[in-house]
Amino acid sequence: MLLAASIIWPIVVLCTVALWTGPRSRRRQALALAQTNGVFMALRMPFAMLGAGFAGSLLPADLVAEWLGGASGWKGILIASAVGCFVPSGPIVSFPFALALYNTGVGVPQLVAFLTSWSLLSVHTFMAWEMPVLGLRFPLVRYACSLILPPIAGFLAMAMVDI
Amino acid sequence: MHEPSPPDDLARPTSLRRRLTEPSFLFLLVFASSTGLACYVLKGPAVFWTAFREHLWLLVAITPVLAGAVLLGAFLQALVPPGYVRTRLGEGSGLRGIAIGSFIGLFVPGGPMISMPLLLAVIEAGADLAACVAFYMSWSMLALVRIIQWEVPLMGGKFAAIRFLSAIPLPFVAGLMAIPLFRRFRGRAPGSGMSS
Repeated sequence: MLLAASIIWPIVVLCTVALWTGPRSRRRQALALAQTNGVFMALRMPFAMLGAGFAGSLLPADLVAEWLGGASGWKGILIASAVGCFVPSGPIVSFPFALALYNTGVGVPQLVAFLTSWSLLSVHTFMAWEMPVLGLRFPLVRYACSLILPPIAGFLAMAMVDI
Repeated sequence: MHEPSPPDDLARPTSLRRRLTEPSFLFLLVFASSTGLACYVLKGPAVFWTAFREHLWLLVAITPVLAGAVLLGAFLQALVPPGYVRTRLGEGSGLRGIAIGSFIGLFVPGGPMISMPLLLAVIEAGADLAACVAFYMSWSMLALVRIIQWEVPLMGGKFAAIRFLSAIPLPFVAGLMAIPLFRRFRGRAPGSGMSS
């Protein structure tokens, strides 16, 4: 927490200075955006956090550790890649949920594969955002190119963990 | 529809009632209450209250980071002129385009409601499609604001570093795979290329 806060706040201060020396309309736009996003997060965070926590404690810990634990190797990486496709919603749920998985004993390479799959192959984002806005050709090619990436990320992470 | 909505659109004030009936909010409400109920009934009150306390505490602890990230996301969006990313992304093709797309993706904050209209505008302006694929990959796996906002505080710096390093080659892999695929599936009309 401390690390993240100490990275983020100095940049916020710099951006604030840049905004305050710029035109007034831009300042107003920035504050309005911050307010919209702030209310959005404030309404969702408590439920996302608690939901992910409850979901984590509902998972059968021994099964999860066996299928997705650090010792599960490439099988766990493939399972985690498949599971990631079906987690709906944005980082507001997926990261707290990933933390819950981590605490249940899921291995680091498997979690890397899970998060990569969620960010690239989420069926929900694909159907709700990508196809309606971008048509068929670009999304389909993009999705096809993404299919093998979560396992690759998992294997790279496995090599790094071993080092 | 074909122009990306101006940032002002996102900043339009919405009534609290509308905000509380948005699908994504209702989804989280149902998600939290159903998992909470299941946890209480199946695992017992002790497990329920432990999970409740731990995650409420986590919420309190992460709030300073989230507040900073909300400000940073909004300020960056207001500071970077909307046309800037579009121009840069349209500049290169081939390996150079893929490298530019991957690099720009690091710095674009926000969810699909920002990136999708941006991509649409870039694609319609005739940008290299493989570069756009690389941008998409980089934006969804490597976007720095998301990593600082979510991953570092929740999963720790070491995990975030491992995942970041594992993901760095991927936009290039995907961009290079996309070049022959886009050639193979030429669109007859925009967005209908897979019918051949």
